[in-house]
Amino acid sequence: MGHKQKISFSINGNFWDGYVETSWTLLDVLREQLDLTGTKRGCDMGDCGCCTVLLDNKPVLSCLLPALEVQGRAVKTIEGVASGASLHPVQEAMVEAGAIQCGFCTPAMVLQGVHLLECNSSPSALEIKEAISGTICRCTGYNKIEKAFCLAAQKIAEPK
Amino acid sequence: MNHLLGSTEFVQPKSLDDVIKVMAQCHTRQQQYFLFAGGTDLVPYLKNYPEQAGTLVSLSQVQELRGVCLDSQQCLKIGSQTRLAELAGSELIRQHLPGLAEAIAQIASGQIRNQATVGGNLLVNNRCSYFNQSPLNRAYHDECYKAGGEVCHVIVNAKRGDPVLCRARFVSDVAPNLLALGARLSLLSAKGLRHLSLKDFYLPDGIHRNQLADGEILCAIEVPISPKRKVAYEKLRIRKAIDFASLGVAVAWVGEGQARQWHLALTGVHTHPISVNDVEFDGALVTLEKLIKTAEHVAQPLKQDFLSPSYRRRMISVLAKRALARLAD
Amino acid sequence: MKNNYAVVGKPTPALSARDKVTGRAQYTDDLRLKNPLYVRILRSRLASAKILSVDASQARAIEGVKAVLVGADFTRTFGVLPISKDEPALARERVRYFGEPVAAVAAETAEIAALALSQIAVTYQETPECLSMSDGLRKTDQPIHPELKRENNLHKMVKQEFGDVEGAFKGAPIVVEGEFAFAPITHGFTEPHAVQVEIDAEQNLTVYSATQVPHYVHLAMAEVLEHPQEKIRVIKPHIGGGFGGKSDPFPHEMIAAKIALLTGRNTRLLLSREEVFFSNHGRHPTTMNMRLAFHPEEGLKGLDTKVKIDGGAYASFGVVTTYYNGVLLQGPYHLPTSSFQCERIYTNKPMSGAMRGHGGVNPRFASEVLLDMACLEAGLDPCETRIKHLLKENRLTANQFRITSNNLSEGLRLAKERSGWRDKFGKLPLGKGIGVACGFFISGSGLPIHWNNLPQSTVRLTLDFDGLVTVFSGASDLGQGSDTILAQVVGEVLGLPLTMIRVISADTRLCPVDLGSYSSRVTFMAGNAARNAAIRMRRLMVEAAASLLEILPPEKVEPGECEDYFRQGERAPNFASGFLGANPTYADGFNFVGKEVIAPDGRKLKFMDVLARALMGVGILQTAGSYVAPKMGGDFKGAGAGLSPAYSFTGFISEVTVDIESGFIKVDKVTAAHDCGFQLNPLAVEGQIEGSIHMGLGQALMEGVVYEGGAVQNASFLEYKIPSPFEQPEIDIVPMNRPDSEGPFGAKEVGEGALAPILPSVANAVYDAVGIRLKSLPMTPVKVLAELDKLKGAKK
Repeated sequence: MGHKQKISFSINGNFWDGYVETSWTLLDVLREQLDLTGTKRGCDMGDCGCCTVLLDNKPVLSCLLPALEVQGRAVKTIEGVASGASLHPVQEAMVEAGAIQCGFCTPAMVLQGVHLLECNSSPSALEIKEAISGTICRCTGYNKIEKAFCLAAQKIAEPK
Repeated sequence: MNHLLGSTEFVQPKSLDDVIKVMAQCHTRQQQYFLFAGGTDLVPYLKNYPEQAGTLVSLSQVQELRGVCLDSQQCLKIGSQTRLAELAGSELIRQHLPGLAEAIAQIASGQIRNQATVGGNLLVNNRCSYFNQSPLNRAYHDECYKAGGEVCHVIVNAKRGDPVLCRARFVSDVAPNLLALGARLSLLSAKGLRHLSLKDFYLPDGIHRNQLADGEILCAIEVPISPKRKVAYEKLRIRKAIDFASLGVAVAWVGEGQARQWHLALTGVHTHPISVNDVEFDGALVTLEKLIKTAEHVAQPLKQDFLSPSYRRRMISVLAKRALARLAD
Repeated sequence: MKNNYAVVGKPTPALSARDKVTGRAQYTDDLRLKNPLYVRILRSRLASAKILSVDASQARAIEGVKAVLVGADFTRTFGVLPISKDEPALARERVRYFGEPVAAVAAETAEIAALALSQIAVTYQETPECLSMSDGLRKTDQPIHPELKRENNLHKMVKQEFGDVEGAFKGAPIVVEGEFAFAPITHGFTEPHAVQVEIDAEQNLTVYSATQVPHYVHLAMAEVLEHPQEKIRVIKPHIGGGFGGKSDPFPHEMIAAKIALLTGRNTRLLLSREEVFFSNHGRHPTTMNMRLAFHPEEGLKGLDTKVKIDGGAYASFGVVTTYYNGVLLQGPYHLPTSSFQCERIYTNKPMSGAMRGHGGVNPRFASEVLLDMACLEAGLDPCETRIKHLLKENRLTANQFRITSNNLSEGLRLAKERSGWRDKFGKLPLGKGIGVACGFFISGSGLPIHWNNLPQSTVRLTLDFDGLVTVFSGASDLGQGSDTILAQVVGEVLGLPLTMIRVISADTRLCPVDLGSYSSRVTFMAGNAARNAAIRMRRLMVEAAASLLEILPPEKVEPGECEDYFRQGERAPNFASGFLGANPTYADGFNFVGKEVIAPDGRKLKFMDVLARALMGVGILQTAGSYVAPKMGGDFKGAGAGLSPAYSFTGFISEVTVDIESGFIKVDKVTAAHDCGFQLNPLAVEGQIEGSIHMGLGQALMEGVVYEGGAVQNASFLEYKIPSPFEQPEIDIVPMNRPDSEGPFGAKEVGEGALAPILPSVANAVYDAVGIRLKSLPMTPVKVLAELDKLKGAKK
């Protein structure tokens, strides 16, 4: 208890350095130290996916990642997805498609969507299922999240 | 916050030499260390076993342990710290071992495949519904041998001194595929490098699971390739995502026609992977049938999984035939 | 359905959607109170034991530990139902289930709290575990609840009989029966239980809790802490799902508040996922014997049901569940005679409680499977037969439920057509099948839990100088979208877009009482209350408009309490008493639309001008509206159970593929018809149907809490199998939109009723696919293969 080590990393495009507990995960640091509470603690054991963040642009589970492991790397959380007041197309699509109920898995789903559409501008239905299958949503049955990702792909392909 | 890692120290060596040194230091100081690969298996373990303090030796900065390359002897060399997603996405793997890429895509979830490494998957801890539990659950049932206690809840009369003490089951999805492909491992310690066939690597006990020695690290996996070598994998699990294999069956062949050799490997139904190959050539299906019979005979599914032992045993042949059908495609 | 609505009836994204999609929405554990103490709970490692001693001296001695609580620190037990307050905040004298809270620690950091927890020494004396219902019915001198003074562990037994059941069975050409078994199911909400408590120098507590029932938490906490009601304020921040699992007051809420009172410090407590499994309150493990008497032309003649439900260690909603297992069989078909007996039995396991579709899901499975068997025996089409025998509108059931509206015959007919039933049923190749099942559900319980004269829901509105309407409601939005519904209802009445409406909900200080979000009651009850409040607000505006236009205001029509409305099977809408039901027109003759107020003579006024006049001398416009369910029901014991002002009706057609080698069932497609009356928000309606199908399929195919002894063996999202996107079918929701006569704009419930029918529709489709009748849930591949083997054996 009480062992701290210094790290620095990029969080949502900003440089951060400071001391973190060696026993803390990235999720602990995000929520308890940086006050970025959009990343959710659903199970803390790597099963539910609600703590998903992008590490060097790839979705990972922050509850399984010792904070010190992100030294020198780039972390993006849900707070870094929208640019200012304008939502990312994935966020817009989630809102419009009614893909959000309780909202607890939503940050993880949004980040998965952002990642998926960056890698694959027109994903198939199966690829969308695959992309969201690491996060449990107990409310929506996933149908509307899948729909939202299709809608987001359209939005990105044909900006207004 | 509820779960914290119990470990007290975290180090990130930059080279393989440094890793060996850190391990040696820990040994001298009689301090427990954990080689930290992807952490997707280790971190939940540490959260369930908060008393397990020690040094986390992160391997993420050791560049020489990452990546896939083709060496001159028609052999793919895979760095043990290559992330599963990287491996499945590697051009070399997709070209030479597409079946392996498909198998990896069936592991856990996208997030976990971005974190977990191929070496970590080969060394993934055996699982048992009495071991993968919180301290409270273990207090109810009493700590089992694997958890440091003096009882086995699966084989109730198991006792220390038995050739196999712990029946926690082997669950790696990568292992059966690499076994069926005839992979070899390179292991490094202060004593030097040694090579071992993957087939000889695993031990029959759920606690002392493999030949990796104290102070030793799995560096790379070598997989022979040829256009005539193919593998296909079928995984039994309740959900098509997240879940560990209740049973996994890899079927591989090498060569063609009369000279075709078969290899069948299983995961999830024993304390170690089951690997059977056959150098006889009496026609594909007949040979596979024989391999399946042998594997079924060796398999020892026990009550450590949601799906019953007899069901999992029954599924061996079903999945093997499906894998074969995929191979033949 | 054509209408002139501007706000209701349109697909409307939830008001909170933008906050949620950007990570701004604050859930309980996201709040940051000043300098909180971290609270953690020590839980019992045994399922049944006497507590001989709890020694916390070492824990107290640790620097940074500010409080340790043990059972003796609480004198009163609690429970959501006033008739069964049997749960202590911390176990006293004995523990009754594995994982029961025994002590609690508050410390300056989470780490210190964890350390202190490990330093508390509890000495137990083990007592015999009662782990099965058959055990529980055996005579014992050590019952789990000695205060009941019973010789066994029976908690509650209910028997009801309507009509000459035995006569019906004697005269019936077809009798089918079955023995059914249901695994324990838990809610699986993604946000673990969490609570934070803020305290001021006057010992005022503000309790932020992830709860569906702030009002009940308020009442229970005042009682358990023996702290004045007016010094407690309960607020539900954003909440990560509930499904019934957060609809009781909980020990962790009492503990966090008690520590705040003792230390004068703010407190913070978050349960781990494993602890959430110990808290459970999920669907009761159940065994059931059911017989159905059936006549090929006349339909269902009688239903005889015997049920045992495993309540676990405490009562929770159990008395209600005991009734619901029988009374929720009274629909959706005409059923002249029926009898049921249900026993709830205490065991040494985490308590069962209410879960989506409360008490109705398991008996629905049994009855719909039996009905399928009866249809096939009679050579009838299961879909047509169901349509033919659905309850008619404006009738009473045998146990005197009023059926105001039932549009399922139209919906199921449409579903039948769209699914291609005619070409599929009985005609698909081996391994492919199609099946149908129906259900019905309450739109809120007609009787409140606490007997008092408060309305079931009250909504307060303010209209301020800036034109903004604030809606104050005690209802809890759990993500189902109730805040959005309330805003839509108010917006429609006042002709305002949603941008002019804010909802403040689930705050017991600011909001008038609403009983909470359970029994699928909010749209109907809070929706009606909001509508009535808005009609009163509209009246104030009409009077101001009339004054501006120098005309007499129209005769006043007060939205009433519908006392005399439709009672004993006779339709008698009473517009004189002002109850407007689903009628979209307002008696004032004005038209409020697009921020304009249009007088009966066509003259137009700006909404803001009318408002300025209305505010003269009063400063702010305030109104309240409420909802009281009409007097309903028969005059017999237990007549109140299952009474509701309206019922939803559901019919699902499921198509499956059964892998005959592996036994896996894949649900390919569901064609869904759900009669929720008028759809206030079609987007939310679809979301509820899709989510219900997901949750129901979990229970049907893979979910189940696994106990070994008294310990939960799969207390994780890895081993408790919530379906992934790959297991979710394609869903075709048929359009249905016919208003109920009493719901707000004709709306009825959709949150719970759409769950139950998915389970039997899949089971019936499996029969169509491979000829096996599965009567035990979940329908795992292991069970499928075992049944297929039996079938093969029988054919040989």
